Amino acid sequence: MNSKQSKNNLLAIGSAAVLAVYAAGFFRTRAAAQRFADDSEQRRPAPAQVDNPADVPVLQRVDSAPVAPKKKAQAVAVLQIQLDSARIPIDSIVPAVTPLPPVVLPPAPVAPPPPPPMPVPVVVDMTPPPVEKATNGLKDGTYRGWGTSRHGDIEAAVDIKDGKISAAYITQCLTRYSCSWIGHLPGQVLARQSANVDYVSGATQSSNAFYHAILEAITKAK
Amino acid sequence: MSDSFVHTTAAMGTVVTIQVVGHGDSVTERAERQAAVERAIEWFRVIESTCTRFDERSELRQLCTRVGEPVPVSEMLFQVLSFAVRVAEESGGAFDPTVGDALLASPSTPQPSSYRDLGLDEANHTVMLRQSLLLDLGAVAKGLAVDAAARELASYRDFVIDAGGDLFFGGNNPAGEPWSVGIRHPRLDAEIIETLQISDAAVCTSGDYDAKSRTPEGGHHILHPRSGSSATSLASVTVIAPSAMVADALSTAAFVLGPVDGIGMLERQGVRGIMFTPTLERFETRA
Repeated sequence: MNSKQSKNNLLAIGSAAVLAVYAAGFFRTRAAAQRFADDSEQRRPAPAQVDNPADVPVLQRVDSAPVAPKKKAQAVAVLQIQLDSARIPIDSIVPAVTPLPPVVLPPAPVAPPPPPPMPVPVVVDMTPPPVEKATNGLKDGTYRGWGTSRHGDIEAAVDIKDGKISAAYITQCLTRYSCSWIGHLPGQVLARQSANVDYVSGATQSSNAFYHAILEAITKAK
Repeated sequence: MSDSFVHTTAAMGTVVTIQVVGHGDSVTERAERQAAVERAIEWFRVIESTCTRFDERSELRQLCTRVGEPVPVSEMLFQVLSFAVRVAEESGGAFDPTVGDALLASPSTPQPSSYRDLGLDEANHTVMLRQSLLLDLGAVAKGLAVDAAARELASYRDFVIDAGGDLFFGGNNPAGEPWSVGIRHPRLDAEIIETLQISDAAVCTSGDYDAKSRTPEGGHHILHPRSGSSATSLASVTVIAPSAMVADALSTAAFVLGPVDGIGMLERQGVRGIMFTPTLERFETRA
């Protein structure tokens, strides 16, 4: 047995095994947390419905480069949101309009790969924010807003054209996790003409931060 | 205890209790905490569903149906088996994940099986059973679940996970001091034989009092893999280690090895151990 001493450092082996198992099973326990969240309380009010589907504009391109990042910005990414028909049945609600091809922007300083999942709890924000009404009568232009979460901040922007949201984007993603988790949310803003987006399983914080960022941007447009 | 959140549930054939200290009383904070505990509990379910020997649908039991061929297994099962085999090597077979057959008291295997009948291929993540055998990962799987749950709760710093005797203590107690942990008296019910001050460590005790197996003459559930009989030279072994998986496996192995070899192995592994013989003679690893 003595000869095995150097071969089997069980503390090190065990620690590595726990890490490997934790990383591999991480998403299964996220699902459990989400079930819990679903069961527990009402969350934000139901998303606003699009009253007049024909009003939903087609996504425009992003005209400008992102504003200078906040100090200590680690990652700046502009996500041009494509109208993903799998997620947003835009074709069904705007049958007569052909979406413009999405503009692919060169990625700004490449974001570092997201850190491995850390044991940071997903927060279920039980505080119902004000119901966001349809955003008619907004001033044209591009407006930005910040949302914060314990995982980091998100800057989002909306383009307003003819009083409606014509585009929405995540302009800066300073969260510890990749914003790809919530990449489809700007499309929801567009489709719903509202900041009321869905929660994202496993990225509740980020989706809340995005919500507040959009809310701020829309408020500026009023 | 007023500023603690305590959650108890049944999992892995035992009662799992999680206590999280502090972290606010607002609706949001309470919900956060509850969600974190729910994720921690889920680790017990996830690991049990893979590693249990009591459900023939588990990945472990499915693996046992295939003999003589390399079987691809999940990351979880591979890691658990790899660790179990390392502990078996380290303890000279005193700990052996293949004792499941003896535990079931159905001597169907043609010859005694041992961990040497397991062929693990790290590159391909496969396991080959060289002969028909049953695997029991109980000691390792529960500790692993505690460790995974502890990682899940790490951001809360001060917490306790208690899974039927596998304990993990994060940080401090509500009074801001290290947790006070009693070692059960191996011979007197409801008595504590010794009290430890623990912070950020797991404490696992293997004793001859936990579970009476179906063997005659009051044998207990820790079997010597080679003889199939219960180990008798120790009444309890408590191991304190940074990992519950390590603490549980090593306390099981040391219990089988006895006081001399057991202490030697624990010292080689750099973990703390406290042992009592049936006559309450006490052994402890050197610091």
